Amino acid sequence: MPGLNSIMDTSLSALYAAQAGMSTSSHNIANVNTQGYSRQDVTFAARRPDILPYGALGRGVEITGIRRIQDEFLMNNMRIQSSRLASYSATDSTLYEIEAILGSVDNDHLGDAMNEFFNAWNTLATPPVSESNKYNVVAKAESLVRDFHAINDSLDDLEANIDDNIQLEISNLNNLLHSVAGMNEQIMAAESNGEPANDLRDQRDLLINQISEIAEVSVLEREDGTKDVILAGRTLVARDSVTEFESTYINTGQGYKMAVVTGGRHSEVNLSPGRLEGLMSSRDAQITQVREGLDKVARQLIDEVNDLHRQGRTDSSSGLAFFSGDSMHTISVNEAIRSNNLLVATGSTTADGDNTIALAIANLQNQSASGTSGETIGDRYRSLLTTVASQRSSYEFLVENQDNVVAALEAKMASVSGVSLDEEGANLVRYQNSYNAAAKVISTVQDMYDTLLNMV
Amino acid sequence: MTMRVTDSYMSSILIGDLNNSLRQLLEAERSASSQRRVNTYSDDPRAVSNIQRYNQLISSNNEYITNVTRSKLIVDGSDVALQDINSVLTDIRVLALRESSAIATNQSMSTSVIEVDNYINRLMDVLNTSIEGTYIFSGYQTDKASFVRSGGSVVYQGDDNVIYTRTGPNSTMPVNIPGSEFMGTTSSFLNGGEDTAPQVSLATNLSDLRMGEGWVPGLVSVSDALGNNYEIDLSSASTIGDVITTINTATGGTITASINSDSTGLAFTGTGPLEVDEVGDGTTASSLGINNVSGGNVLTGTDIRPAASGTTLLADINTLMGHLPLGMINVQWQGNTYNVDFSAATTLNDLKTIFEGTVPGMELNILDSSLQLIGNTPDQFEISNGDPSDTASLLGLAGQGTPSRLFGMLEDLKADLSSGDKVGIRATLTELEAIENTVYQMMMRNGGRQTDLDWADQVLRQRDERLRSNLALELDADTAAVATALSRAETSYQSSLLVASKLYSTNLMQYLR
Repeated sequence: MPGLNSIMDTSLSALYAAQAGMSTSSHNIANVNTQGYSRQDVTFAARRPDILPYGALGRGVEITGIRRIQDEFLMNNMRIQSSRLASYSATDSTLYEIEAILGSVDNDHLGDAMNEFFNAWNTLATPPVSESNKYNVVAKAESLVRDFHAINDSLDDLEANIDDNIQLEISNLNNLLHSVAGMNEQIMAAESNGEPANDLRDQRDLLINQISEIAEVSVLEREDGTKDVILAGRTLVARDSVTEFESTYINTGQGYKMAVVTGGRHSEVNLSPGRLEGLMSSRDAQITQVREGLDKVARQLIDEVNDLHRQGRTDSSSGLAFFSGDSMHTISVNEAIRSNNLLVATGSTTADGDNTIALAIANLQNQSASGTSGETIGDRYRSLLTTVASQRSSYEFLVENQDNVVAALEAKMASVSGVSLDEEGANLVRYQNSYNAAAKVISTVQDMYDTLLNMV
Repeated sequence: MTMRVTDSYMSSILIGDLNNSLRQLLEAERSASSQRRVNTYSDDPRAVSNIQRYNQLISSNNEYITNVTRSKLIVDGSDVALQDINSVLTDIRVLALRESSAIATNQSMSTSVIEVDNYINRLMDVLNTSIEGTYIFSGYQTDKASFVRSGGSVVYQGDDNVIYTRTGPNSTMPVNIPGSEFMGTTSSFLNGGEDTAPQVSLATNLSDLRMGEGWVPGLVSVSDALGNNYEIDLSSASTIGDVITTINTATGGTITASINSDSTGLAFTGTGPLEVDEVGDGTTASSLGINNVSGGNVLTGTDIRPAASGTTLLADINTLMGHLPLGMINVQWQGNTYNVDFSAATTLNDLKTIFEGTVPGMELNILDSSLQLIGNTPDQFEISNGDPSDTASLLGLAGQGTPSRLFGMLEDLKADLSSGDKVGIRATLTELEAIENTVYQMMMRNGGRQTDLDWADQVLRQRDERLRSNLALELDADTAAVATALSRAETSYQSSLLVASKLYSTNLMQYLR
């Protein structure tokens, strides 16, 4: 037969359990807006009963643990999708800038300059032929050259800006890796008594999520509660030790470019998807593609105009190239022509009315020097614009789509791990009632003691 | 299991919805404020190439319009000059007739010498016409006066080059007449009198019609006396065969299109009177030579044949039908007789190759609708039929090739007047006639250029409108659609805000005491 003290003990366990529940709800409510916080839940179990001749008599409740509600599968999936989103966003951002550099529908710098250049040749060719129009041809050619150079400079700036961002991301990555290693150390110490360090784990997961945006990583949890962070087969964090990344310039055979290497070993890292990879690949693919495309446009312009202009004559020149250079970076109006605009050849003879060369150059706008089936200079430029626009449009779509995937996963995670104030409110009422009931039992036992004592 | 709706879940969904609504609102506002469907290239990559091309074509087209306008200065200037020359030549003819007649006296001849000298000065003035500082009759040598006096005679300082201007993406047009054509110092001419333009066939390209002027794609209206009226879109046609097929398909056989009986254009057969008309401001029907009303059941279109070219088949030339293969022609030039055998020729280029291979120093030129022979010296030449095939006559080449020695003839006239040589003066009349013919042909040729330029101007302006309209289709926003989208986006955004404010202000905590 249990004594009154035993009943008091049972009720007391209920009071403790209700308090722990209230405290956990309070902690959840306090962290309702904390980024990366996973709601916590108190787990209870019935105490081991007293075994009596007539049966097992319950001894109340005990708190078996406080767990954080987390879905590791969702978390890992979200990291992978976040890495992809960051990669797509970085490429989209580069394409956005490239598109802006190339102009817009209303302000197509290079396209307009090319039209004006060929129109100037047409004006020069139009009878009655006037030598004064040669000044206009040179002015329009210089304007076209300036546009090529401006685009080249802007692409250089964009590349340099991306290199700066790569360095910044590497620095961020290294800082985050050190933070994860630091958290590993704290968690290992905190969990040495066997209890999970929920809040520290949340903070570490948040750091790993941030790393995933820079580069996709895989995570391996050890028995001591620490997590190793692995990127492209390299273990970057092992318990509390860190392997850092560095940036360096490597020779690609066509010049130097910035690459990511692991500290000390200086071997180039093949990055997994993420912001860092997006920055590097957009620099190496998209910018290079535009640069090469515009180089081809410039080269075709230089070759085709020069081939025709060399067939021309003026009173003091013959066989003169109109442009010098062989790319958008090096294109320039022939120095001799810049110094003396009258060296622009209008015809294949020195006769003032001979407009055959000017006509042929003006016609390059409509017909390639290689014939009607060849790609004109304008065709080549339009084809490049269409490629950039298509890529930008598809990346815009990819980003939007991936954003939705990540948002859906975030919502799902918020549904699993997030704090619901309604739920916590209900828990508060539940624990309060439980507490009140236990207190009532104690009060009743107190009355029973009083009854017994009054009998004496 | 019921899904947990947590505060962060709710906030994540609401923020996502708000962002979506706001983005849609922003896009709608951008379209509304710019009235553009496409602002950046990535808004519609498919349209980029078209927008770019239309912009370039509009820009080039404006240049062609300017070219046409400026070229007209020269062509119109040439026309005025040629009319002046024609008028002077008439006066000279009157003078020559008067002084070769029985009433002429030594006194009158002496006076006429001065008169002829004045005519020479007047002709020089006319032929030295300059526009914006360039001499229009000097060939490429536009900085030099075309004609100057050197010693006792007039010398041509230019060359015999023709200046071309661009009037379209793939077309150029000659604009000047080199003064060498008046001098006869370099060559003698014989312009063929027979029409060598090829007949129209089903395979004839529409862009070659009307001596290469092309056509204007668009719609035509075809109707008959039964009240049938068809509006037919011919824009996608590229050959005469396409036009006929499109029309016959559209009319279902009630009105039948075909090539006309002399193969110079189109014809319609149906229950007359038939009428073919333009649709709106279009000029498609006119450009196909069918903008007409028939008196009976057949509507015959006007001549829209393409220009002759080297590849033109002799079998496609109306005047040669039933006379193939051709035979021989005789050429007498510089004391030599050449027998030119055209029996193996099947194209106009074959004629040119055979002729120039047989008669060194002479050229056979293929003009738009005739042939022309040129000797590279001022020596006269004579062309005649070489056998019963009458080949020279069939080709319109039988006759005499003469130099057009405008000033040489006048110098001769002066000399004859000074010496009182009435026989010489009469002989001058023959040469004068050749020169008048040459000038007349030049006027025809120049008049054709004026018409061509007017036509090109009209076509280019229509092309400009069409290009701008096409560009607008690619570029401009549909105002009604944009206004609707804007209104919808505003409503959606306001609703999102309202829902967010209501949800955030409500939870269980408010109801707990």
